[in-house]
Amino acid sequence: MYKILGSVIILVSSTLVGLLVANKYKIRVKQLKDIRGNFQIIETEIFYTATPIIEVMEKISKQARQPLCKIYDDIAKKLKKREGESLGDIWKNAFERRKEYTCFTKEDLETINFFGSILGTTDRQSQVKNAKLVQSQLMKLEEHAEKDYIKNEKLFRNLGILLGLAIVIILL
Amino acid sequence: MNIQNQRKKNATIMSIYNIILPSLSTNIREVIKRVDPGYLNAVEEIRIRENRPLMITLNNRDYLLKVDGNITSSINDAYFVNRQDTLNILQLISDYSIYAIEEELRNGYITLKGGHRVGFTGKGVLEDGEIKTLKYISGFNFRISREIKGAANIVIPYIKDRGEILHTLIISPPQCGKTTLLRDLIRQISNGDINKGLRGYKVGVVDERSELAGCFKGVPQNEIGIRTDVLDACPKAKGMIMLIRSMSPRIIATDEIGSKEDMLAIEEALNAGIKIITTVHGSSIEEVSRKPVLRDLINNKVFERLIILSSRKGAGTIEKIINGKTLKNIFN
Repeated sequence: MYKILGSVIILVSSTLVGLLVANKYKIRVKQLKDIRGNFQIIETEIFYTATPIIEVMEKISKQARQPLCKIYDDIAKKLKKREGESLGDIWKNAFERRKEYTCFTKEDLETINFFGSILGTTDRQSQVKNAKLVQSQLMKLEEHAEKDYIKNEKLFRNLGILLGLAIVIILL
Repeated sequence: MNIQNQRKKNATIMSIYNIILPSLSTNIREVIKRVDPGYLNAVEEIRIRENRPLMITLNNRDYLLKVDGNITSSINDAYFVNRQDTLNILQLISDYSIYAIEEELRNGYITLKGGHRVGFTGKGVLEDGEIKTLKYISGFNFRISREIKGAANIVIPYIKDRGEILHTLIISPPQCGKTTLLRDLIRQISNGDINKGLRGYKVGVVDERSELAGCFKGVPQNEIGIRTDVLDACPKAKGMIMLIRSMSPRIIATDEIGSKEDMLAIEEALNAGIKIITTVHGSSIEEVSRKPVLRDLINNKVFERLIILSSRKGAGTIEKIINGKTLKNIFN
């Protein structure tokens, strides 16, 4: 009786771990899509109304989804303090601090931080050019992420179940 | 009077602490914070030049600052401004958004909250012979703006006639309080004062260099009167015509006229029955008359009052108020 109960618990938990890992890939795709959308809005704000970056960050922190909205909010608050740090550093640190809530890879963050480092440092036209460049890079990352997701989702889902089964069999 | 002085003093220092300091780099901020409040209150400019000593000017003289905020006469003791400082300041005065101050970069100055102006220099980027923008910005001049309410008290009785305001030209050398006088004139005419027999008029202000109203994001930071409409950062001539057509002003005020276009705009205003109050650089009618546009205006007796300023007894000394029709001094 206990044996069966134990096996079921092992099986369920390992399946869940498998699903959780698989889900990370899905979330990464979603977050990459979200952030590209946000960058598009930032680009529009800069190009059409030349809104200062603090206002843009405040605005986008209200529109964006979790956890990105929190990050933008952090950036806006930090900028308002006017402590003399550059926007690029503030941006990088904000993403670093909330790393555990995002599923970005190192490569993703490099692109995202590049966007932060040039934000606000040039005239409007160059801002737009750079924003477009970053967006196309994000698009590529998105494609990769999507492929990874399709490839790995099944893998980790099945791996979870199979690993659970293997443990159960060994223990039995 | 003492209390009033005290309050004015505090207002200047507060404004330096709340508006100027957050726009300075962290290092320079610390230096300025340590400057004696008595000096700080009288500061006219804070000069920041890369790789050179930090300076403040007061009473038309400049003083080098040490790291501890004390004044020094030796260059070696002074705080030297570094690249980090200038980069920092540029980020802060632009609110981290260079793209939002393209126009200001082209003009070479930006207006902060409170009407303070920051001028800057750097390397020009040209396009078709025109300055497109500045880069490598390395020099800043923070000009502390002060409103002096009541600066126009003496003048008011001379520039009205049976309840009507007269066409007025203020002639003054630089730094003699021309803009301060004009600003207070605008405020008093716009607010009106029953005790002085002055009703409030609608005043349109074309503030090409953001000095009169000191607009920040389109909202005047200086007290400029309750019936005053401000067109900020617009070319004077175009702005005047825009105001005539859109805001039905009774009086149009602008700073420093001189171009042919200004002349045409003034003519249009005259045709619409609008009174003009404006200023020009100079120290006498003869000197001003050397400029063709102004010679025509003065010869045609367009201006009914000409006010001549000097700094003989401090900035804003009124030398003469001349009746434009008879060219006689009516001020004693």
